[in-house]
Amino acid sequence: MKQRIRYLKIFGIIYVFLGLILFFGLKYQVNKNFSKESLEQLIAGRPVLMSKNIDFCKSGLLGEPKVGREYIKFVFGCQDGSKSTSTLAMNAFKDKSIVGVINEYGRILNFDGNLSESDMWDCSINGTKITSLNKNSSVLEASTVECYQFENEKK
Amino acid sequence: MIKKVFILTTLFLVVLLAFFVRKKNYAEIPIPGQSTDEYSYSWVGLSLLKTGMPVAVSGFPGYKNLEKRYLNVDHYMQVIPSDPFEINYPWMDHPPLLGLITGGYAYANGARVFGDISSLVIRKPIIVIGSLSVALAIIFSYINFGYVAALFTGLIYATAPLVVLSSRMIQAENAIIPCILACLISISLYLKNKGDKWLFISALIAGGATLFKLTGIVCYLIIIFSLFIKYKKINKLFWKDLSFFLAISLPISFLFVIYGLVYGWENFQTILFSNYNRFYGIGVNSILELVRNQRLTQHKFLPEIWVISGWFVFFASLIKTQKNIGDKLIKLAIIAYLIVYIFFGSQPYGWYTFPFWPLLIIGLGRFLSLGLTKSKNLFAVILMLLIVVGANIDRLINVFEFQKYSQFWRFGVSGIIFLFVLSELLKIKRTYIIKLLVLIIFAGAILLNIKYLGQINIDFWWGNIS
Repeated sequence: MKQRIRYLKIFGIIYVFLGLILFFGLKYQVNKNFSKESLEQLIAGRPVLMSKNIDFCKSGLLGEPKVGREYIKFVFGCQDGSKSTSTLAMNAFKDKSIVGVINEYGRILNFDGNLSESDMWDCSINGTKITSLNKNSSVLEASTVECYQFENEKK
Repeated sequence: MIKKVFILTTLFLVVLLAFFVRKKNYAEIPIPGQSTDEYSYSWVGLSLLKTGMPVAVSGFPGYKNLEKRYLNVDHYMQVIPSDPFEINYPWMDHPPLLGLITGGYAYANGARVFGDISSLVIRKPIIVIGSLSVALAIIFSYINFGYVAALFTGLIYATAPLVVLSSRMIQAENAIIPCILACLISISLYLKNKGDKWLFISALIAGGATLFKLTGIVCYLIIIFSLFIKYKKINKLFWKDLSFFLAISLPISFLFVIYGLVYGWENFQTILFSNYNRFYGIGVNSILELVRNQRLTQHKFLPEIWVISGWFVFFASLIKTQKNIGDKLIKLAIIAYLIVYIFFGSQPYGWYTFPFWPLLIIGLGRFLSLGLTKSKNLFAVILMLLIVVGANIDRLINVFEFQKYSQFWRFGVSGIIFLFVLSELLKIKRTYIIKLLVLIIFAGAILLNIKYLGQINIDFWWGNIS
């Protein structure tokens, strides 16, 4: 019985200490480090440990989202004839501008940098060439972004 | 002294074997992304360490903060059709201890964003935990049943293909398993009058188990059942032990509530009740499913003859009363987890059933070892081993490929059974020959396990595992 009381005393002291650290330590950590920006960085930040994507024509994303017409389709074609198609749900894109969705697609495939700024691709949306004039306009539902490798580009 | 060194060395080699078979292709099989829980758990740990806020994927309604995003970790979306993740915070689906281990390991290795949480990194701690479970199963068997049972249990649990593949997955059950086994070890030592410290240790572990997932409460049940074994009735001594146990374990489990309070009681309570109202996916067919179908994920079945044999032994143990404390504990531990499994319901997926497997295999190891050491139920032992070997050969080669070896099987197996029955009927003692046969068949079954594991790569996975 004496031994049990000794165990309980030691346990009690460590427990109170741990409980306080857990509660106040976490509160402090959340107040100090959590924000919308840190959350966005955590979720959508560029991974450093994952291999970079170098071949968009062979990197299609699988799956057909069940979202009616609330989707966007990406088609990437290369000089060697290879082609990939991905269909993604629009509600998973925060920035719904043309340049925003292209960059987000690049992020998902872990492209190194902003995909919209890459000079490898000639892109159009719903058949209209993407230029500096329309790149900030919003993407309409059921849109298709098509990008083809420039003729002088090699993968 | 030499005997002790031999015992320790062989059992240690079994644990090493367990580690190496788990490590081979660990980042590729099971295919990353087939259970996105693996990422989700680790994201909890990473987000807690980076921002203090648990952020991960949940299927529960009731969360106020929701972000839908595509995250192509391990490039898995290029292999498996996927929807966007529904990311919630503060994530309270489960306590965060497993996430802190895997996410913490990833953080220590340079991971800073969700995309960094790759299987190559996060599965490393879990295969160490899986190997630890093998060591604990061996220790429990050794303490309660002796060396041969420990060796048999260790070899089966180290190499059974389904167990090996499952123990690479980041699922809370894989962390609860060593807790169950450690609880069984400490409580069996307590029951053998080795002192109060073992009840204290079992209380620490039982409390800790619930910080992985609430189903860790199975450890509480195991200890309570064990105290019934000790006192056989509810008397003063029982209450003394129980209150000492609860005075340690309950406050540890309560740490989850303290953690939840940091992010608001309302959120914690809502998610806890969402947990309670989960879809009862195991259905009324759950016990048959348990015995008949073993799964790794929702859609990946891998029937495991060692587990099925373990169920046979368990059912047989229900018919007969055991005297050995270890036998009683294993039986009650399986029943305790069955209670938890049926109560929590959820899904019949692989990981909900993982905790049955070490317990069933310990029972099976014990059963086989009794055949070898005490000639108990030798015919049943041989028949069971033949079933295992047959099933193991069947998953290695198909029936057409098998035809060239069929003569061996035809004459060998029917001959063994015929001669065995004959020697029994004519009371001819051939115990040593039969025991040698048991050893040979058992060794063959283990080698077939390892051979099968060696075959499993990505192509084999997609082509052969339904």
